[in-house]
Amino acid sequence: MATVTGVVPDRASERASERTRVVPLTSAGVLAGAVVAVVLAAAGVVLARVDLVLLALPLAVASAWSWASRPVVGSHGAPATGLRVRAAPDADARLVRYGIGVEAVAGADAVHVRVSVLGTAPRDLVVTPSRAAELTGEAPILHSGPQLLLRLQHRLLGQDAAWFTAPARELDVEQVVTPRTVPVASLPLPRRLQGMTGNHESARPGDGGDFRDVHPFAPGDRLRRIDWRATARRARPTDELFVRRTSALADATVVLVLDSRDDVGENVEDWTGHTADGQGVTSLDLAREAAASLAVAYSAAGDRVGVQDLASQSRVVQPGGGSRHRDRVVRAITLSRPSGSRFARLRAPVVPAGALVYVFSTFLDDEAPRMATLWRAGGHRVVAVDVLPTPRTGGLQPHERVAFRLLALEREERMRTLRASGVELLRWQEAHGGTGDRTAALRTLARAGRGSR
Amino acid sequence: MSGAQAGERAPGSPRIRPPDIGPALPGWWARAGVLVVGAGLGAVVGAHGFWLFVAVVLAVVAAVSPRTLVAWALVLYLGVAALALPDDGWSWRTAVLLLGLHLLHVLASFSLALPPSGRVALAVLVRPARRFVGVQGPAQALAAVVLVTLAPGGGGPHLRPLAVVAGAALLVGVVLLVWRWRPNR
Repeated sequence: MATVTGVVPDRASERASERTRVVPLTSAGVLAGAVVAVVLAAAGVVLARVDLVLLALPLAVASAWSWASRPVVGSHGAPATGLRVRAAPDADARLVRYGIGVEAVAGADAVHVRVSVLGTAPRDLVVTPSRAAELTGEAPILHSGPQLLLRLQHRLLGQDAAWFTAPARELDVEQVVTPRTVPVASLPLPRRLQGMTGNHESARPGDGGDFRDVHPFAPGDRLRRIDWRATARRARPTDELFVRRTSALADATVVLVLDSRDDVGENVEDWTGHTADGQGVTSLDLAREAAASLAVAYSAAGDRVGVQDLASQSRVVQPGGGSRHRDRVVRAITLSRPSGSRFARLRAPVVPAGALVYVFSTFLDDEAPRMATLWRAGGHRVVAVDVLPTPRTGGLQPHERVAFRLLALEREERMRTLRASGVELLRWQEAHGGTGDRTAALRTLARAGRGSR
Repeated sequence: MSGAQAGERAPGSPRIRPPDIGPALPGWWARAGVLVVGAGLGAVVGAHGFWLFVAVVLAVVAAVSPRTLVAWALVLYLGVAALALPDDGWSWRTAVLLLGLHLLHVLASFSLALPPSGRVALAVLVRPARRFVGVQGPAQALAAVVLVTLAPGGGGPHLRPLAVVAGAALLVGVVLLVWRWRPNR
């Protein structure tokens, strides 16, 4: 049973195609009908058969009428046709309602609209001009991120399809669907906090945190921090003053690294098909949900969050804090889409010193694990978030099943290597019913990082 | 992965539907119509044996590949086959042929333009149907009057050559009238 990722589509949008001049192309049928009518009539005259002449009469009239019905060029040029689309999400964000309006011209009997909804196979619809002006439909929201809602093309058909126009240029209507965010209670932190202020206790002495230690008085220490009891107990031999020191508060720097080079769904059969309704929950759906949830949670905790994308060097948001920056990060995550980049990086993208790095990947190839290992070797705390949906292998051919099994074994080996190199693992998708595995794993990760930072 | 299976809807996924167009026919209805009407007219004109076989073959080719314009070859073929009908005035065969050849022309025109895998709203057929009736009504009435008048017992067989020429002139006249009747340029 596929679970539909809860998502929030963008607000209503409207798009319109360029208006194109109507240039009628006459069907060969008109000429063929006229030729047959002339031949029949001539045969009737020659053979003195009035019935043949009568048989030719409707053909001739129909052909002439069709020819005469072609749109004419007025004093202000040829008439034009165009297309406009408006789309709006449903109130409960489960589907997008859209309306297509085709502007036909006088004399057109029908409008041929070719429409592809959410990347499905194009469907040809032939409707009247009045209906084409108000075509409505709805598309379910199956995935997050940018997606092709509609691909449209149209042409006009004249009287008895005796003339038609060339297909107008395709109009693509995209819809961006913001991923859902889930509350994250336990937030793992970096090994060392580098920030100067924040909500987490760092290893540095300073203000704001809990008691750290008792330390001999040094220039710069405030007098009110002198601990007279400790001084009385310890200072007799040396006449030293002792102060109570507290830990400084600091923020964490978190870098979310998306591996958007590919996008695979839970339906293994569809890994090469990529149909909107055939793949089920996809890895990028989970990656967007995970990254957005962590970004929101860390931002709420006052931490600095940045985004990197392994597929593109241009999709980078440097770490920052605040609600506007959080929105920028979530938008960058939302707009990530499979790019199919196959280049191998020589070195891992630069991340701030001491940052906690999350790598969201399916780990179906070596690139993301290699980057994670490099960051770990550089001293960062790295959490590898496994966003491969639980695969469904039903319907696979035996040889496909063997291939998938090999792929799965390679992946398991890769994950073992990652763990051995010090990278921590987190599986984002929970078992059906939400057993709390993810929450427990996050709590464990948060506990494992405790200590002096 | 197996191409035949790939792309099937995942269990539980809602179905993705195209826009609603109301009551509709499959796009291949015009081709089916050409086949049925063509073969039917072949039988109506009384052709049998080889003639009927040729009519059916032409109808099949016209339905499978409209771009070959074989449908109009079939119209011509059926018109020529009408010569085999007894020339003794109006008969139901003539009326059916008059209707059928026109219908075949319209269906063949549609089969050239309609995508066979698409859907055609029924409302699209209303205007062509009205035009068809508008042309067929006067044509059938004229055919009935002329053929009854010129029938051997109808009292006017000696007018036959005149009627033929008048018919041809009428045909040209109507075509010119339609031509002149075009909307303002």
